[in-house]
Amino acid sequence: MEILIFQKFQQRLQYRLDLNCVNFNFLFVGYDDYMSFLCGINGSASTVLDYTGQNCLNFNSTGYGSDLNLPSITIARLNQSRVVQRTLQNIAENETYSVGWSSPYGVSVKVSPTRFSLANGERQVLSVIFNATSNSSTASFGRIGLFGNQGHVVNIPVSVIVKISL
Amino acid sequence: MAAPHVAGLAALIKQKFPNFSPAAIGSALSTTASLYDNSGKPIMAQRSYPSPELNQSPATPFDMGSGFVNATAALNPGLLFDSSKSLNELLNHYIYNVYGNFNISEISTTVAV
Repeated sequence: MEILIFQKFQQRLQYRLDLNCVNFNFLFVGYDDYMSFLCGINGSASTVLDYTGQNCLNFNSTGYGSDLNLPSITIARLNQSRVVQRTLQNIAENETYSVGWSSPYGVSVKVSPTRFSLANGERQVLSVIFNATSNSSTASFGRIGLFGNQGHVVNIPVSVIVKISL
Repeated sequence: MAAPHVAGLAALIKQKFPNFSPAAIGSALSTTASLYDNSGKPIMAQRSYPSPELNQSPATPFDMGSGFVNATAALNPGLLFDSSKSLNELLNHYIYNVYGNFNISEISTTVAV
């Protein structure tokens, strides 16, 4: 009995690792986060069930795919507003960065802070506030740029698919 | 032929920064990528199967991800978006989710990674 359970456990572990190895970044964020992201796409439930055997009713909880600390931001469904945070680490020498951005169509974006200084190894949390300004289900795209005074330029693509405003 | 080139660049980054995680290497490649091709024009995406050359528009992140990789810039990324989780923490997280509270050392010889 124990051997049977152990074999089953190994199979499930391997399955989960395989799924997560599809994208190296996702290897570091977890199966459930990824499922929540897929399930957050409008009307994806039946496709998710077909491909993964998982019911989206179990994954509509708190985790958003956009909360993964990836060098990009994708919001599948922006219902009025959302705050997304990203943690950055400076691996170069002391540098002061200023932040610029272009908002996706139908969305107002605010990033704070707009200016920060980091010594080598220091971290900074960036808060990005999204507000839907129109109703649309067509994907729109923007960009956040971090411009360092020592010449480093860091780009973050921003995508918002479904937008729901008041 | 993007994948073999990017894999080679990932190896170069790992050589310069041996302590970089896979997420950190991906961050360095992505944040420093360019939106322009080597003639300085925006990267374009083909929008139809018939006459693809006549049906092009600037590529979106869904077409091109972060853009064309820039090897020199990727080796000096400045800032990193990394994950604080180590591989062991991660494996413990999976194991906990799959089978309850297991210690990684009890099963680590059976985990193929």
